[in-house]
Amino acid sequence: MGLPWFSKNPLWRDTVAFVFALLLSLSAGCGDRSEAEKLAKSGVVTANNLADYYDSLARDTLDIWEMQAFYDALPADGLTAAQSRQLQMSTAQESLLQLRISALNRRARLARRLASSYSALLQLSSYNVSAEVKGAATGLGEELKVDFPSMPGSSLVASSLFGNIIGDLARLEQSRDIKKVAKVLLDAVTKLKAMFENEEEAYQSIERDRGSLFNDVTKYLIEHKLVIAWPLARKVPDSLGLEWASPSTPVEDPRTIAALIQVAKVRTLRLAMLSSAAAGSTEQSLASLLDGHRRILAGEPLSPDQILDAVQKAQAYLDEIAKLRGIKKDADKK
Amino acid sequence: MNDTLRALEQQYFALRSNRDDLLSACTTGEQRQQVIDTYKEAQTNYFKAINAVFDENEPQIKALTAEVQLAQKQLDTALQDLKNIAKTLKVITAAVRLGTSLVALLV
Repeated sequence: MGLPWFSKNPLWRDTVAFVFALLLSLSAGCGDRSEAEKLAKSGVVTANNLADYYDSLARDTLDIWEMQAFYDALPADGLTAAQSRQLQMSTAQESLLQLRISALNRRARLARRLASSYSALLQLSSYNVSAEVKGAATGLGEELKVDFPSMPGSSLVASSLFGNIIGDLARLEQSRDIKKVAKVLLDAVTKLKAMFENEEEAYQSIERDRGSLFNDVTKYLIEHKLVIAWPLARKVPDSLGLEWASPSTPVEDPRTIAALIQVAKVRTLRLAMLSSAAAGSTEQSLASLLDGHRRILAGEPLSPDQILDAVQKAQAYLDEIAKLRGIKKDADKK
Repeated sequence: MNDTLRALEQQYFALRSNRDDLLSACTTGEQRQQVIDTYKEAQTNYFKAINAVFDENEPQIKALTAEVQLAQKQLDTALQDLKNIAKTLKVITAAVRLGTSLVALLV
């Protein structure tokens, strides 16, 4: 038995060589797709966490607005009615707080749009175009076989070969699309991270403002005996099973008042510390996402654990902040 | 920008925390007015300083929003195009099948 006819035919030999070369180059495309899927999933959670962080800052600003209005409306000694009014927040100052909330909302919206883009990338990378197109192209090949029968002596079936080539070309196109968009998103995340770093001091200042203001208000309420402050030191008698002597009456002793104000200060500043930690983890998650993009573009394997770890940390801090706010709301209800 | 913000923040927070003590220490209405004016000015300065940080990046926010929207559009189009290839191939297959049937009728 001699060599098959196509091994002697230069045109057919070149075609077969081209198909093998194509299949070899496309084998990397399949890897790209699964790595892109991992990147897209990480991108969705990172961007959503970023949006949550901005939402949290917007809520803090609303808290500040509300509490500042309360604090500035508190009666101060020796002021005339006109001076008391001047102490209250002006319309211009309220507009500044409104502008801040709008700016934070715009950032949250941008982060959510980024999450939508990563969702679209996830859809594109998880779509099995090769199988879809290969099936359709094989069907077409079957139909065309009537007019274009297989080469004599060839073991390759024309229709399935046609299906394979079309399927692989589509996969190559998909891989190119993924890389093109991953590059655009890399650019967007790079700028977003730079902006986050640039604004981080302002984010943390908002948290410090909230903590300091809540502390000032708490101090006023305790000093003016408007609240029962004993629960601030609840842990000590609770741990020993002791009862308060007068749990329903405000604290009268000046030294105890001063001590309880210090406890309140620690509690109010805890929120600021949590938010600062959330900012750090959010920034870290953006940095890890950028690293993921660079790996995809360089054709290196991606490990999303690092990104997800940072996001989980940031989310845990935000959850803790929400929990502290929830405690405040529950206390309000009571 | 960060140093300025920090300085204005410290000034405002200190005035706010000591506002009532300062007012109590005043002996004349004029002095009290001075405390109020200083406090309100420090408050406005701080609010403006925070907004200035955000304002600085507003053009960037607009550009980025457009960029991200474009990326999503490209992704949606790419996915649609890929789906259309399969659809187009199926339409062509049906057309060829129809052509083959017509030829069979003619022969």
